[in-house]
Amino acid sequence: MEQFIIPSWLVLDFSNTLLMYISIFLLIPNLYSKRNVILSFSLSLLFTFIDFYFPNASLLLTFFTYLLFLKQSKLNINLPIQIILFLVSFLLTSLTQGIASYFVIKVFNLGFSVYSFKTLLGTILLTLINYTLTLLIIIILKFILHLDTIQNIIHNKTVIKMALLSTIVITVSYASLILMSRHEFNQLTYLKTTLLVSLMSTIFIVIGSIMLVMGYMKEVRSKYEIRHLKERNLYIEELERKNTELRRFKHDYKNLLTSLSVSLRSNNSNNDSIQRLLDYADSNVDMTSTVENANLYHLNDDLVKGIIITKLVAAKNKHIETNFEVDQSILIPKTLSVEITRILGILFDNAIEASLLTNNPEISFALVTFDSYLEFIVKNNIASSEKINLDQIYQTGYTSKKDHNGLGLSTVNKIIHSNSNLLLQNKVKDGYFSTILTILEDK
Amino acid sequence: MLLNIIICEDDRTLRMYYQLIIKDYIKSHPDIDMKIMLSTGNPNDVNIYLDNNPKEMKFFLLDIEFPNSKIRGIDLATKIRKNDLNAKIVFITTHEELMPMIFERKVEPLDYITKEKGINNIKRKIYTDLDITVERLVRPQNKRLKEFNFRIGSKQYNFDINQINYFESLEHTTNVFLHATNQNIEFPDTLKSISHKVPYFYRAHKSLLINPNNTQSINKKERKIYFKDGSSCDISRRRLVDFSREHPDLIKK
Repeated sequence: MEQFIIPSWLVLDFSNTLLMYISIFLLIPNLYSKRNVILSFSLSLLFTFIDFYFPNASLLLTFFTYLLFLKQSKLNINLPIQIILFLVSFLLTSLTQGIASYFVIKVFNLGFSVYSFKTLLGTILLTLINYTLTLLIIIILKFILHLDTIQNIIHNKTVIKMALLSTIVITVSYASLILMSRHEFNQLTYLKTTLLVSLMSTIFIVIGSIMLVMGYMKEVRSKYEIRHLKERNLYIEELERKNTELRRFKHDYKNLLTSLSVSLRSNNSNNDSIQRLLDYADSNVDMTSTVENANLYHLNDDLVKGIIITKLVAAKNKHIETNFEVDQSILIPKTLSVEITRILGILFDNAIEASLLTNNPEISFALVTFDSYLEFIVKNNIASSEKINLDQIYQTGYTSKKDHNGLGLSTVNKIIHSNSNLLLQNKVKDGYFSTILTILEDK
Repeated sequence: MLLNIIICEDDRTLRMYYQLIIKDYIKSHPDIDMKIMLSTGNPNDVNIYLDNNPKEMKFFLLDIEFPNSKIRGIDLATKIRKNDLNAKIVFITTHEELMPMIFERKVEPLDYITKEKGINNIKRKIYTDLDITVERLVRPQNKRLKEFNFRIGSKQYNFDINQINYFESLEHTTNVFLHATNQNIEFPDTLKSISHKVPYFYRAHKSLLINPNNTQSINKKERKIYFKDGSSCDISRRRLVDFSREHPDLIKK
């Protein structure tokens, strides 16, 4: 009479192992290939027989083959996430199997009895319910909860560690329960406990992971806000500094005027003393420094304005002497603002880098309007030893597209080359390197 | 030819002073033909003068800010430059109004004179600037460089042909890169129309037009042409044969 029960157990075992592979393929679509499918099919068959002699050995074996698959497909998923995904699929199939068995035995009353027909029907039904439930849950996970995006979001190491830990704990407790119940309880009680434990653990996993993801999202948002605040603070600091400079300048000027009037009244009418005062003013009242141009703050494009201010502050923080000029009433074409911002970023970075090689670094920037076009000029001094070959740095050569990395100029070149309204010129003269980006108006 | 000198400064005393300096200069250079044609505090007068005398040779001494007028010195100078590439413009101003790079691009002024540095300095500077103007404008009337002209927007560029190594057309745009010693400039044009302007330039490649007068050597192995300043460009196999036949002296073993 046992002859029917043992094969049905084997079939169930086989179908469950196969289901696990299927759920793995569904969770990691990149693993799916003809070879892997055939391999997993035959392996499940093999493991079923191994299971027959060494109970539960198939779980470990499946895990190792899973790792093997991953290694061959060369995915960039790190080990913790690999383990999590495996355990999730394992728990999932176990859970659905538990539910299915409960249904088959309790609801349909189709226990594995001596009757061959009942056993056959029960096996088929169990497998069917098992598969539908698993696939349903995976589809829900994938298409409704967007599992892929969650995978992409979770880069945080602690989140991954926590998830790994919780899945491992659940799996271990689940496994130990199974082992215990196999020895201690009868079949039905075992199934009930399995179902209960699986349900509980699933609920915990779901709640836990939702909380983790939400917490992580919050963290990302707050990080973004902090960065924003920092930038704003830099900007405010810059404005405040300018304000104090202006006040000092006014103060100095008043002093100068007073002393000037004194020297006039002292009636020597000696031109010399006035001349000396003027000389003093020239060397001591720092008039050029940073009474920077208000026009910059009136730019109509936030992206472009942002990159200019950011790089200006960056250059100042590196003690580079800066000179920024912005013409009146500048209108930057919105359609090109992303391109302009990218190019300016690269040009500024290069200018800062190159000028830092000199003893007294200087950077100048100007934004000039003409009738039908705009010009952005970035200029920096270069070390006298440096000899720049213009053709080499931009690699505009026809075939010699060697990778001049670290300069980013090839990116500039690419943008320029794909847009007729952007023109570039550069020049080395008197120890200065200057780049002019011309923006033609749309024709 | 007569050099016309125009002064525009809203401060009356300073204007008189500039006039005195320039008159002194004229007196000490009797061999050169020059004259103060206009000295005014109103930039509009300069505009009117410009419209009436487009062809003259001019030297301008301009203030940058005119409190009583809507016209700024930079606008005035931009207008001058648009009609006259050769006019010499000198700005005389207080320091904080200065935006040298914008002025450079728009006007290409000869010089800036800052008022803060005192009267003697102003005098010295005006003298040197007039010297330079005479040197560049009045004397070498006939001795002109060979130039290549092109336009970007409304701005005309005159480029010394001897400095040009080659022109390169870009694939996805209608622009051409001019490669010169220490300078690259991109401007809207086609190689075909350029080759009409400079017929003796050589088409070394579908996208390259080179200046044969600036070539230093040919490297047959790399299929490259080297220029006198050390830069290089590619040449197609077929053109290489032709070009080395025409210039056997350039081939490097």
